[in-house]
Parts: sequence; C-alpha cells; structure tokens
Amino acid sequence: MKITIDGREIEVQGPAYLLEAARSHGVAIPSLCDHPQLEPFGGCRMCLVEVKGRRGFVPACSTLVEDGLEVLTATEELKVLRRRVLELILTEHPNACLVCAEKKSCDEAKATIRKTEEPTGCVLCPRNKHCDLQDVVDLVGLDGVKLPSIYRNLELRRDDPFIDRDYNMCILCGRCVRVCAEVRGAAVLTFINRGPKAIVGAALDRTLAASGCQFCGACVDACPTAALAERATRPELRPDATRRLICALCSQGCTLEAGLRAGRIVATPPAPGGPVNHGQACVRGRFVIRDLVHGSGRLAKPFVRQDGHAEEAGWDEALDRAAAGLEKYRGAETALLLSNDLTLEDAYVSLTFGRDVLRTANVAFSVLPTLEATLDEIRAARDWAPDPGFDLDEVGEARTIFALGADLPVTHPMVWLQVVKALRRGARLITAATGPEIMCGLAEVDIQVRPGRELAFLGRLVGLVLEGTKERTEAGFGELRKSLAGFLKANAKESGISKETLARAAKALTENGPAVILAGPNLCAGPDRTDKVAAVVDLALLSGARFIPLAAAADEQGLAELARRLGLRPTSAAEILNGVRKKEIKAVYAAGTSLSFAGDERPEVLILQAGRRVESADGADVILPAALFPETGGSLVNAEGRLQTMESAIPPAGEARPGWKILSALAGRLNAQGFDFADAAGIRDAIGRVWPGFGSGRPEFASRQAGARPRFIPLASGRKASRTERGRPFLLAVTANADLSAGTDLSRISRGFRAVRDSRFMTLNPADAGKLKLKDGDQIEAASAFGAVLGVVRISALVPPGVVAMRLIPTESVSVRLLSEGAAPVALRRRD
Amino acid sequence: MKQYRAHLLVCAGTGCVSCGSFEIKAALEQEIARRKLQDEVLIIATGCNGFCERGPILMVQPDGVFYQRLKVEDIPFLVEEHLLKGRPVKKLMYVPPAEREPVPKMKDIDFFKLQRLIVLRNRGRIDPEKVDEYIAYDGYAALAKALTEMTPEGIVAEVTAAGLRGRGGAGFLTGRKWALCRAEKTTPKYLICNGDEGDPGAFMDRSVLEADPHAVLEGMVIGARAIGAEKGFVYIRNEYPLALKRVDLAIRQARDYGLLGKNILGTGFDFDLEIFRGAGAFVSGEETALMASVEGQRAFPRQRPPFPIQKGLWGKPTTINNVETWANVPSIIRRGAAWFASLGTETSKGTKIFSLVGKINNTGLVEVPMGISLREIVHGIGGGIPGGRDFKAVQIGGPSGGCIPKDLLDLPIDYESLTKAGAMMGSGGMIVMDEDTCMVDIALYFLRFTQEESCGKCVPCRIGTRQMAQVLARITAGAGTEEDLTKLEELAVTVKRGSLCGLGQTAPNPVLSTLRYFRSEYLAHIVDKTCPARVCKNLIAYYIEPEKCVGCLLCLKNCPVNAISGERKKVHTIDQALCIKCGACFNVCPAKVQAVAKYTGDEKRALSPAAAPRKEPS
Repeated sequence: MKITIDGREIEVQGPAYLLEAARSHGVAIPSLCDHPQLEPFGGCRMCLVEVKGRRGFVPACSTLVEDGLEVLTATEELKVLRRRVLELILTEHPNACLVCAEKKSCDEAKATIRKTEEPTGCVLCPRNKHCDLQDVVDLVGLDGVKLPSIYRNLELRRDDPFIDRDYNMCILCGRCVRVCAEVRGAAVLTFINRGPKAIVGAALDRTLAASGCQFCGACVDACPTAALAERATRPELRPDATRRLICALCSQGCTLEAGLRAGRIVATPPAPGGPVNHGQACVRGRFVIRDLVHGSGRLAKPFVRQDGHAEEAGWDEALDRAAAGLEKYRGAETALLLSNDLTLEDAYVSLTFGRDVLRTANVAFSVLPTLEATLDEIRAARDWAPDPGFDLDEVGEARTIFALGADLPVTHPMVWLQVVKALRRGARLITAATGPEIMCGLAEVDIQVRPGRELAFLGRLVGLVLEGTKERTEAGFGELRKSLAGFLKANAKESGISKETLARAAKALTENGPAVILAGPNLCAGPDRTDKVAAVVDLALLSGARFIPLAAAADEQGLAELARRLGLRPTSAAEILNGVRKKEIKAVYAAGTSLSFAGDERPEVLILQAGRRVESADGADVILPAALFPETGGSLVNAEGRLQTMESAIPPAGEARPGWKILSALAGRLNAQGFDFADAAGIRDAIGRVWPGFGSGRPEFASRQAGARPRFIPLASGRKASRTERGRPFLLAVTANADLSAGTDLSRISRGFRAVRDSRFMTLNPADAGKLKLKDGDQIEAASAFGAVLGVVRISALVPPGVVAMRLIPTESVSVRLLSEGAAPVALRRRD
Repeated sequence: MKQYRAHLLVCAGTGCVSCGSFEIKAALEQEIARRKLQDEVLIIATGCNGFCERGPILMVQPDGVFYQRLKVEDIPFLVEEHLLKGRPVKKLMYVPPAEREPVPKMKDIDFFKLQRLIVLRNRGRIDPEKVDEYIAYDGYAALAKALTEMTPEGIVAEVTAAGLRGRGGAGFLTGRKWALCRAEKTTPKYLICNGDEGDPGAFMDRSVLEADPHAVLEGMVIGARAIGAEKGFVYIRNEYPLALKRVDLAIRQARDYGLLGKNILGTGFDFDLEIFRGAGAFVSGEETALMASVEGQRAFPRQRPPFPIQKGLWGKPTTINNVETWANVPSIIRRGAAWFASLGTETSKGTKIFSLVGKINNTGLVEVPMGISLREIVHGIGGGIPGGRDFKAVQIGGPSGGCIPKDLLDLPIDYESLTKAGAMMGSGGMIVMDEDTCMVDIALYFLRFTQEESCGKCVPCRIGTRQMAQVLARITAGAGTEEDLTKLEELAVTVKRGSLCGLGQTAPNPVLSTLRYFRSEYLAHIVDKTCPARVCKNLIAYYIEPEKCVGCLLCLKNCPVNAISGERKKVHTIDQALCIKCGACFNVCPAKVQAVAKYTGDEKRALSPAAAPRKEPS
C-alpha cells in the first residue's frame, strides 16, 4: 500500500495502523496511550492527524492504513490542538519537571539521593528522565501550562506487595488496564468511577492482592509515568548499567534486563525483545531476584561443622574437610543431589564429578520424578514417547487448548500469555484442575477433578474420544481399545465428571482445528503418574492434538539430556533418601536442595553446596557457598528445548564461587584428572564434545527419535483413589511447588512473594473454613497417616468442599511421602 | 368481543403513575363495581398521553372527554355524574392558561390539536400490555407485508425512500445504514434498539416503550429481515422499570403469537430479541459504548471507523437505531414511503417527538411534523410561559445541544436548521427558559453534567470539560475576566475537535451557543459583576423593601441562618453579611406583599451596609 504522509509517499506492508507506519518511516507523532503490544485505545488524543476525506481529526493509533491515504501530521491547527490537549493532561499531573525553565540545568544543580519514598518534587520522581510524558512534552514543544492545576489529592496506595500506586501521576492512558487484560488475561486492573473521578484501580477499589493479582509487574512496565512503580526501586537512583539475564526461577527462561547500581542488582524488569517472554515477566523474575541475590541469608563464606555447630572457615579448610569426608566412601555408598535449575556448566562438572570421582549411579536432579523422567520411562517400556520440545508460538496459534497438571498463570506465565493470545484469536480453552487453578476462569470447559481421580477422568475422556474414532493404523490401537473395557469397569464411578462435560471437552478437542494439550508437572504427583501421562499421550494421539509437556524447573530438559549424553540414568532424591535411611548411602554431596536431611535421613557425611542459608545446613558437615545464576551466568535449556546462555551480571557475593569451580577444586583434592576448566566457555566446549550440536539455539536431543512411529499405550486400570477416613475428614491434595531457586523456597526470602504465594498456603473451601472457624492467614496443621505438615489458611471457592489444596515444597519425609501419594486423608487442626 | 357503553382510559405512563394514576384506576374499579357498572364500563390502562403536566389523566370514550389532575376523592362524583347521569364534570376538565372556560374534549385542546401522531399513534388509546389491542389498530400488519410481500432489498429501499433519519442524535439516513449493514458479508449480524435515554429532561423513548412497545418490536423485526439479522437487543436503562416490564411482556406475547422467534408468521424467518438492562451511564447512549456495555465491558466508546455496521457487537455487523427510529418503521412500511416523505421538510421527513419541559405551561411529550416552528411548539402546544414571564431561550438536544434565543422562534425545526443555529436535534429534549434563567448558569449546569458523565477515556472530554466548568463557575461567582471568554472558546474548540466520541464533541455546545446568543450576559457577569437574571448567588442580594414590608415575621422564621431581624408589625431587615442567598425569604413572602426583592450588581452594592447605613431600630 502507498500512502502520503505530509507530502511524502511511503510504502506500507500488510495491515498496519497509521501511527506505527508513520513511525517506521521516521515521522514523529507523539502518543501516550499507544503501546506496541496492545490494541489501539485512542484515549490520549496526542496522535490526532488529518486524513483527507475523513471528518474531523483521527487518531493515528487506531486508524488502519488504506491504500492512497493522504495524511497530514503537523499542520498548525494540529500542533495547537496537541499542545492544548497535552496542557490539559498536565493540569492533572505534577508538571514542574516538564515545563520548568531550569529543567536543563537542574540535573547538575539538584542531583540528590531520594531519601524519602514519597516523590516530593521533580527530581524525586522515580520516572524522572525516563518518563514518556517528558518525552512527549519535548516532542510537542510545550513550554508552559496556563490552565490552573487540579491536584487530585489521591492517597498513595502502598497496601500491596511490590507495587506502589500513586494515581496522582496517572494520566488514564489505560496501558496498565489493557496489558493486564489483553496480554496477561488477568483483568485485575480496570477503570473505576466516571468523569473527574475516573481513575484506574481494582474492582471496588480493593487491593490488587485481593483482586487476584499475580504481581507480574506488566502494569508497572507499561506505565508511562510514575503512577505505578516498583516499591523497592522508588527511593533509588536510576541504574547505571544493565545486564541481560536468563531467569532461572522456572522452566521458561525469560530474558530479563537487570539494572545495576554499584555492582548490585536493583531491579530485574523484562528485556524488551526476549524470545520467550517478549517484554513480559512474572512475579518471580520481576520482583524476587533482587532479594534472592542481595537479601539477607546469603552464604558468603564456607562453614564446617565443629562440635555440632557450623563454624566459619576458609575455602582450603572447607574443601579439605569435604574431600576427607568423601574419601571415606566411594561408589554406591555415595550420592550426588543436584537441583533442577543448575546451569549446564555446573551440571557438566557435577555429573562428571559423580561419574568419575564418586563413581556412583546415585545422581538425582529432583526430589520426585519429573515429566521428562516419566516420558523416558514410557519410552523405555513402549519404544516410543512424544518428543518433549515445542515452540511457544504453537500454543499461541492453536485453536483448542487443553491444559492440565499446572496452573499456567502461576507456574508457566509465558505459556499462559500464548494461551491468552490464542483465546483472543478465538481459540477454546479446556482446563482440568484439582486445586485452586486460576486459569479455569477463562476456560470454556472447566473440569474440576477430585484429587486422586485424575486417571479415572483421563481414561473416560480417552474412551469418549475413542468412541468417535475409526480404526487407526498406529501400533497399539487394538490394545488400547481392549484396555478400555477393563478400565471403564474398574472406574465405573470414579471420575465424578458428568458425561456432558466430558463430551463437551472431547468435542472441543477433536472438532475445532489444531489443538494442543499442555501437560503440566502436577501430572507427576501420585503413584499412577506414568499411567496418567500415558493417558494424556493417548488422548493427544487420538484427537490429533499436539502433546506439549511443561517442565517445572529451569534446566530440567538440559540436565536430563546431559545425563543421557554422559551415560547416566538419574534417579530421584526420594530414592536416595531411602538409601540413606537404609544406610546404603553414607555420603551425600548436595548442590542446591530443599531437603533437610533430618533424623535418620542424615547421612554419615553431608556436604552442602548452597547459595543461601537453608534448613539442611544445620546438619551439614561442610557448607560451601555457591554463586547464584546472576553471578555465574551459564546455559539453560527451557521447557521448549531452547538453549540460552547468559554472561555473569555481577560478581559473586562475598567468597561464594560458581558450583563448577567448587567441584573442580574438590576433584583436584581427590586427585581426579580433567577438572581444570579455566572458565565457563571451556566447560561449554567440553559439553560440545559429548553433545553434538550443543551451542545452537535448539540443540539435538538423544531422546528424540526421528522417524519413530507413534504408538498407543493401553490404559491402566489404576487404583482406588484416596478417600477420607474416620478422624481424617479432609483430602489433602498436594502438588509440587516449583517456586524454588537452587532448593531455596522463594517465599522464605521475599516478604512480598510470601504474601502472593506462600509455599505454606493451604487452600480450602469457604464452607469448610466456616465450619472450622478459620480465616485467611490462620496457622493450621494437616495431620496425615505419614505425619503432619504446617500451613497457612487461604480461602477460595475454587477448591471443592472437603479438599485442602497445597503446593508443597519437599523438605522432609512427610512432604516427600505426601507428594508421591498426590492425595491423602488428613485432619485439620488450628495451631495457635 | 364484549361491548361496553363506555371505555375509561386511565393514563398509565410513568408521569401519571407517579401522580397516582394506579390509585385512580383502583378507585374507579371500586366505584364502578359499587355502582354495578362493570358490565357497561371498561377500565383500560393506557400508555402515556404526553400531557404529563396534567396527570393523572382520564379519557372517557366514546365521548372524548378529557379529565385531568384527578384525585381519588373526585372519583365517586365523577362516576355518578358522568357515567350515571351523563353530565361531564366541568371542574375536572382542562382550562387553558389565562382562560376560564374548560375545554371538554381532547381533540379541542391546543396541546393535542397541533400534534401529528405517527410514532405515538397508539398512545392513550390502547393498553400497551395487550398485544391484541395493538393488532386491532393495524399492528403487525406492516410486518406481515414486509415478510410476505417485500424482499429485504425492497424494505431497505422503502425506508430509504421515506427519508427516515436517525432520531437519536446525528440524523444518519436509516435506510442507508441498513443497506450498508446488509451489504456486509460477515455473519451473524445483530440489531440493537438504543433505549439508553440519558438527556436531562428527555423521556420520549421511555414513553414510546411504555405506551407502544410492540411498535418498536415490529420495527425491529422488519429491520432484522432487511439486514439479515437473527438476534437483537433492546437496551433499556434500569431506571425505566415500567418500560422494562412492558417490553418484556411484549416480547413474550410476540413470541406466543409467532411474531418473534423461530419461523415468524410461518415464513421461515427467524429473529429473536433480548432485553439488556443498562446501568445508567449517560455515555452508554453512544453507540460504541452501548455495544461495549452489552458485551459486558465498561461503557467506553471507541474510535470509529470501524463503524458498528462493519464491526459492532462482538465484532459483527450491527445496526443500532434509537427507539423512536424503530417505532417509525411499521408506519412507513404500512403506509408507504411516499406518504411518510410527504411530511416534514426537504431534508427531514416525518415527525419528531419532543419532550417539552422547563418554564412552560404544558409540560409534556409532543409529536410534531418536522418543519414546525419553535413558536408553534412553545406558544401553541406548550401554552406559553407561566406566570406571565417572558420567553428567553430554549435548549434543544440536551447537554449536547444548544440554546436557541427568542429571535429564532420562527425557525422551522429540522436537522439542518438546528445544527446551523448551534443546537442539535439530539434525542429531542426541549428545555424552555424564561427571563429568570441565567444563561451562564445554564451553561455551567450542562457542563457540570457532561463533566460528571464523561467516561474518562479521552483527555479533552475528561479534563477539558472540567476546566470549562471551572471557568464558568468562576464567571458565575463574579470572579471572571474577559480573558476567560477567550479561554472558554479555546477550551471549547479543544474539546470539540479533540474528543473521541459524540459526548465530548458536543459537550461545548451549550457554552458556544450561549456565548453566541447571550455574550452580553457573560459580559455582565464579568464586567459589571451583575447577573441580569438574578440567579448567580455571588452576584445578587435579597433586600426587604421597607415600604412594602408588613412585619409578618414569615421570612424571619424561615431564614435558615437567622440573618433577618425585626419584630411583629415592624419592618424586617436582612443582614447581608449573614445572608446565604437561599431565597427562602423571597419565596415565603406572601404574593400580595412581595416585600423581598432580588438585586444584582450596583443595585446590590448600594445595599451594602457601608453604602447605605441601615436604619437603627428604635
């Protein structure tokens, strides 16, 4: 298409709005409410232009380019109108910083540290110098506000974690409202009131937390002024440098832009062009990293156990002690416990240390088997399993999405953004949930499954789709069909889901074009995990849907693959704990774990490598302070199978060292060869020697079987679901909590995060809470046959009566046992 | 059908209902039963007659006698005299202002005589809750014709040829809108009836929905056939409970009769309607905001294009017309485009309903042919200004419209002439103002209204109206400067040209039109610090004229701030320093005394204690 802008002819491709077309050709049109990721709004009226043949002025942001448009962007009349509209905006917004005669010289003259948290003047505004309003004032060339100011005198809202809201700065551009609804699918923020009282807020002006906000921070990043600001950075000066980070706090690998000041991370907003997150983040990456790295509780020095106490020590002493401890045992008596978010560089050194130095097969990345491991099991047993890798865009382009085993907005927010994108394009969402999954709110078919009855539900759904399927040529189809009768007999009344609901789900899945099944890590809870995953795989095969497994931790796939390449078959930490309990395993080297090794789970020798003080530290013989991912940098493979590498952003805290350096040094003390790596790049070369193609964005996986023929897996009849019993009237449904970094519970290190998602939250139905006279925040204890776990009450109608849902972090045997059961009858008691 | 010797048509429009017409109806039923007349006399509750000023209203047919301002205690007498003895009751009839003899029959009353009813043709004569009565007066005949004798293109052509224009505001050609919507390829298509009537003083949509809901329904089904829609919504604000009830009833009756729903009139055409209750934001009347509201969103308008006919409700082609527009359609189809086009002016065809309120004798709802002069409406139908005061201006088109002054009283009313005069047709609100109305104060009133009702989405409307209201408030407070007028005009242009939707684009009209016709009044406030109409509190003073005061203590007792001193039979005085200018003394001073006077400007200064020392009480 050809259009003329101010007499200049330009060529525009595809459907585009006038504003972006003009800007891409260097025509500067001011705007405030426009945002590249959002639908046009047309509220600020700064981008008004004249289009020949159209009545009045039109906003360039919401006018689609048509062939032959003649546009004028800078007539005298438009300039005057823009100045006047901008002046109107400034009557409501503090404007001393914008039109002050001294504004050019003020930086040198008035530079100050913001001692108060309240912006009291121009230079104290947290957005000073990177404020869209300032830019627009400069662009429009406004030099004064003649109209009287109207100070709205609104209260500064500080009643939420992480985010301060000062609506006196708000220009009602609605970017926050729209990003919340359009991009995040949350719709927590909205416009409230009318006329001069119109403002942004949560419905009924409640707090964000009370309105279901997950504190992704997208609103803060979308705000053009200082109306929304990150509380922690408000009193600070602007960062003096930025570094690219790959977030290692979950399996998605968002690109963040760490802002540094004096070598410290002050903020970690999303980088604008991240391939995974496209300028978005979640509460963990956006708000927790700063506390994780710089908050209290960092281990900055090695410790050794002396007379039952941990005493500070030098590196030499600590490494000597560790070497001495490990020297006593070798082979099967030793075990290596690693965390699932280890960088590949650390992992390579750790795994070769386990293989070549400890010479043990007892290597575990996670406490309980992961989806990846479960698929490996299926692959081993049936000669085929679907490939794990995928592309996030596949989700965004799907027509039907079936999500289960995760609460995407919480556990996989970037996957969720793609779901939201698909929904906005008219896709249909089916969800199956056992707990308070907030993603159900946008689902067309929302299936609530009783804890422990997931397999019964999945089997029936498979059966229903099978009914409408003609003969299939893939192997195992006959077997699957045969297994169905037995399954239905064994699970006649087990699923508790109505036939209509199942039929709706089956119909949506098979009749609406390309479908994806997002299988989350919660499928791995319970002893029937393999059967459940197999049923989902069958469902995908039958309905022609793409099976997409969603890993839980930052490097789950990369670590599994690295282990394969090194000829190792990792086990689970639960197995290793068993070995310790049976005294078969005597020495454990743990690099980042949530386990506490209390009581008879304490091995003879326990060497702990950790970035932060953890519970297990009390029992450790040696504690070695490890650098955290922003300090080490390194490579991670995300849930998609995408390899991303980052440089270190800041130096390690105190004497902390990267994990690979620690183990290399230890290997040296144990007289092992081949651990003389100079830097992380050297390790990457070494990885490349065992993993062909390593280094590219999408490395090859040995697990992928090119050309392998898919096959159906017969349904397992499953087992009886857990039921409540006398004295234990509630069913505790547990899923693994992935809010961890190297074994550290994020809700223990960030008060704000604790308010949003405490790992101790036990969610129960309002009716149950009423009966037990419990309210939000009460401390309770859930006593099961295996022991008790402590929790904090959260009331939500999303949990059915009689069920208590908990996202549990495995720390000791009770929690490990509960997680492997998936659901257990419990009694609830208040703890005062 | 049973025959009765008399029909008693009790007006059950909201105006009469609030004056107690349901009680009148109950009293009539009781009295008729007591007199054992129930087999001879039928009582019917009808829709609004429009003469709301005179409610509760009762028509006795076939005599055509019009009773007004009835009270429950009048009923036994009325029944006995009129229905038993055959003597119409003169004292309950309408007496035109400044006359003594009553006018017994409705057809002879000026208010009704000069009207031309198309949309309101069934008002006051049918029970809106009975579909049979609507059908008895040719109801649904147009639908039958449209579905069996006409093609959809033919319907569009007929409506286009009639020259019907949107009655909701902008006056877009209805037939053209339908044709464009019909041409859209996307399906499904939707139809909306915009009944979100929000202008202060306007109640024509409510009245049509209450008095003749089937006319709107019939128009919509015909429209649905024309554009090819299967689903429609009637958007009615929740503040109209009676309209909601009657439309709901009408929809159910129409479905029962096969006039709505599946296979309408056996022709295989499907169309159904749903009521959507609006929550009462003024901006919801703007079509894109209304659609957002139906979708469950906040009622924010959005930029057009795309227009609703391209991308409307849920992104589908949508035809949205106002209540009155839809109600015009059946008559056009039944009687033909040529008949309709013969009424009105060159560019504006048919009739228009106006709600006549303010300083006028005959407050009410009137339907007049386009092209009628303002004078005929105000002085003919409206019966002139009460209290012998002089006509000053009329605000047409509500807060989006403008003031038309006395010199333009002979203006023939149509879309173009009103726009040219600085007002607009809008939905047809007419607020009549007499010489006691301050035009600056009126402009401020409307600006405050639009300011409060601005949705907050776009800057010029949200902040610009606020700034304008502030300037106006300053002027009415006597603190304005001549510069303020320039500022006001600048702001008006910014708001008008910069705003996103019709609400903002027209919000400055009351200011611009009063500035155009009553600039001298603005200047009086600014330069002379006087309010010629003696309304603006800061610029007026109340004063008791000693030679008239009889010392009755009435004002003294009613003064809320005890600013009045005096004794029985002695002249009272107002302490200007204490006076809050509430006007209580002015209002309570007996009409034959009229000792309290309002002064403004220099007259006022002359009264300040320094300039005119008060007589010390002896």
